[in-house]
Amino acid sequence: MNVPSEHLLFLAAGLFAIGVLGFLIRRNVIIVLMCIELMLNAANLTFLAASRQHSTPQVANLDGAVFSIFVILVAACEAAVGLALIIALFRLKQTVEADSLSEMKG
Amino acid sequence: MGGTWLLWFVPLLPLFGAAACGLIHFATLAARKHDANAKGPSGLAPVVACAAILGSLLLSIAAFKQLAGLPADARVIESAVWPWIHVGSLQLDISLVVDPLSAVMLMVVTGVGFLIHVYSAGYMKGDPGYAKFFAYLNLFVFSMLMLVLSSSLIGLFVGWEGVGLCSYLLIGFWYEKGWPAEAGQKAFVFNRVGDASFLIGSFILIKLFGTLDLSDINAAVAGVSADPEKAWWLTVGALCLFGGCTGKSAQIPLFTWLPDAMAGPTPVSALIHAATMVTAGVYLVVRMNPVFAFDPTVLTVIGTIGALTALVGGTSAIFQRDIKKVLAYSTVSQLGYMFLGLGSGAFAAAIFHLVTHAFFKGLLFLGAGSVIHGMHDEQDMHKMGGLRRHMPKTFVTFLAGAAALSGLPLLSGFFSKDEILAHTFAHGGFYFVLWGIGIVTAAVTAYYTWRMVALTFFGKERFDHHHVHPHESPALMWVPLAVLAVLSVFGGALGLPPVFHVVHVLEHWLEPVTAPGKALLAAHGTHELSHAMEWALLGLGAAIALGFAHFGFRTYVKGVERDESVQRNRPALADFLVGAWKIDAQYYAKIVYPSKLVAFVTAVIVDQFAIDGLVNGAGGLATATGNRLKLLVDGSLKSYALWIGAGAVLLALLWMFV
Repeated sequence: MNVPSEHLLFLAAGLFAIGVLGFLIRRNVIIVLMCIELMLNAANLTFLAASRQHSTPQVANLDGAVFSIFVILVAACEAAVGLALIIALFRLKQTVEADSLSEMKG
Repeated sequence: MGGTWLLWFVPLLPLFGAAACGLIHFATLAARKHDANAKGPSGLAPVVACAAILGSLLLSIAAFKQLAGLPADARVIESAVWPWIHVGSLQLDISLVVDPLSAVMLMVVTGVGFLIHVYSAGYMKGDPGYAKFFAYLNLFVFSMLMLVLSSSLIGLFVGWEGVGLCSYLLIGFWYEKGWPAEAGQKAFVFNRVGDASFLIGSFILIKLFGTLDLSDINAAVAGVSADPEKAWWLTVGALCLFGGCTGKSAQIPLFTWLPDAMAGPTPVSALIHAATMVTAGVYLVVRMNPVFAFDPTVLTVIGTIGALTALVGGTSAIFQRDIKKVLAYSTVSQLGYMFLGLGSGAFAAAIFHLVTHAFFKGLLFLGAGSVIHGMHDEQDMHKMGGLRRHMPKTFVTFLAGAAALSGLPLLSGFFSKDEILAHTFAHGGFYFVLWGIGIVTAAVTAYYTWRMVALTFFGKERFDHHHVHPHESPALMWVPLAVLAVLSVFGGALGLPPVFHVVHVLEHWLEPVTAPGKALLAAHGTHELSHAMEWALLGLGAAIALGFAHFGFRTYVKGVERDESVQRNRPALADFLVGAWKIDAQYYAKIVYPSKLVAFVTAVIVDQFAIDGLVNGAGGLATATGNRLKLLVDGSLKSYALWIGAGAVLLALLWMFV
């Protein structure tokens, strides 16, 4: 059970990249929202990795863990608001395609 | 005059009259909307206007009588006071005051003003702006009365500007023709130059005395002599005020607007540009005589300017063909005489000449108007001649005015002009030169006056008999002429010279006003002429007037040959004199055209090209940048995300490598 922290960071980077890719190429807003969750979780993983890195066998550093709790909280709020928006959007447009939202185009 | 508040009605009646005539004018315009030739209620306007002036005249006479009933040293009636500007230590109130000087001016303004109003009712009949004309005329009389009656310099300035405004409005009364509007602007601009000087003078007086009340200033002047710096400022202030007078009273260097002001209707020329407004400068100097008499240098400047103006104006009138231009230059010249009188310390003589000039010059202008009216708007004397047979009443009255102007013995102009010249002569020294100029001008005056009479009323009839049928003017016009003719002939009785061993009525009457100035002058020595010398001067004046009047008349009674021969043989001289010594041309060459050039450069190159270019360029740049940048905002969620991502990556890279 002695995984180096770098591995955790690589995993986080991979998750983040998948999230970004999904955010950029998928058109369904629900999937886009999920991709955002993925990116947030990648960030959480990074926080935890950093937290672990700074812990000594005697004293655990919990800064990163506390941060990730906050992030999870915010992510939950964001998901609630985001899903509400998506429902409102669906009522308005009968679709959840991101490309259909271009009224604000300059 | 029961209560002092009644005094306010002297200027207010014409103001109400002006408002009423203005309303009548609007009613006429409304009536004309349906029928272009409708006269509407415009016939009411002269009645209202004349009634207003008549009311003013009666109140003035009442004030005059009350004043005459008071002991000589207490001859002041003050009106209720209207507090105007109270700032810190500066207390400016508007109130009216009648003293012997303003009483004389009141009689002239309302008296001559009333006659000219009556005359205008006939002269302007049928003009589309009939009611408007009377509104302006009444407004003018209001302003002039404010000028004359105000107890402080600030109230006087209000009237001073008011008469300038009315002068502008009335010169440009026939603005559709184009050039009268330009003449009006010219008069206004020239007056503004003088007014700026007037204001600076007022500021200096505020600084010196802390008040603008005329009687307070006059009383405080004597206390200044102890302090050389204050004395110096007082001299500068007096010169600045005189600068204002040169504008309003058409003296060198600001006189060139007056001949152009003849573009206005003839009654306007008579009232404003001969009898009243242009004499405001003379009135101001007499009103504040201690300020001007404090430093003899100031009086010398005034006298010199006056003498030069008299000469330039007089000589410029010699070869004019337009009858009104002759009278205009003559007015400039006579105003010069008045300032020569002031410069000699003869304040009462200047006011005397002001009064007689108001009579005979008002008469001559109205007579000229009658001639122009009868000749169907012809002003060129070369196209007149022999009119005495067609317009006998105008002829006789005009003759009286001409005789008075040229100073024929025993007429009003003879006594007033002679008194001024006698005072100048008595002064001696440098004033001998000014006296010489005055005598030459007197000769010139007699010459051009009788040239005008000969060309207009005598000789062959040079007009086209098929198109022009000269006719006498209606009674509405010749009755005022007759009244003024009587005044011109007998007006001299106001101020008979000492050799006649009678009281100089006007000088005696003005004594309380002119005494402080005279007292200041007496410190520099007094001047008295022996009776023998006075007789000699009177004789000389009479001889010159008679001789040159005869000369002018004989030369031109035959016709216009003399003018033609001068034009042929000495064209440069004729041009020089007709163009008023080319002073106006110099103004145009040295000031007006360069200013216009600067204005053009500023308008086109600096403003339109540089400044507008900068402003429009800044706007254009913003628009162009915005047009480019808005391509980024394409409405696609993903491209926004991409930009955010790219930005984050960029920041990360910057953080890592920089």
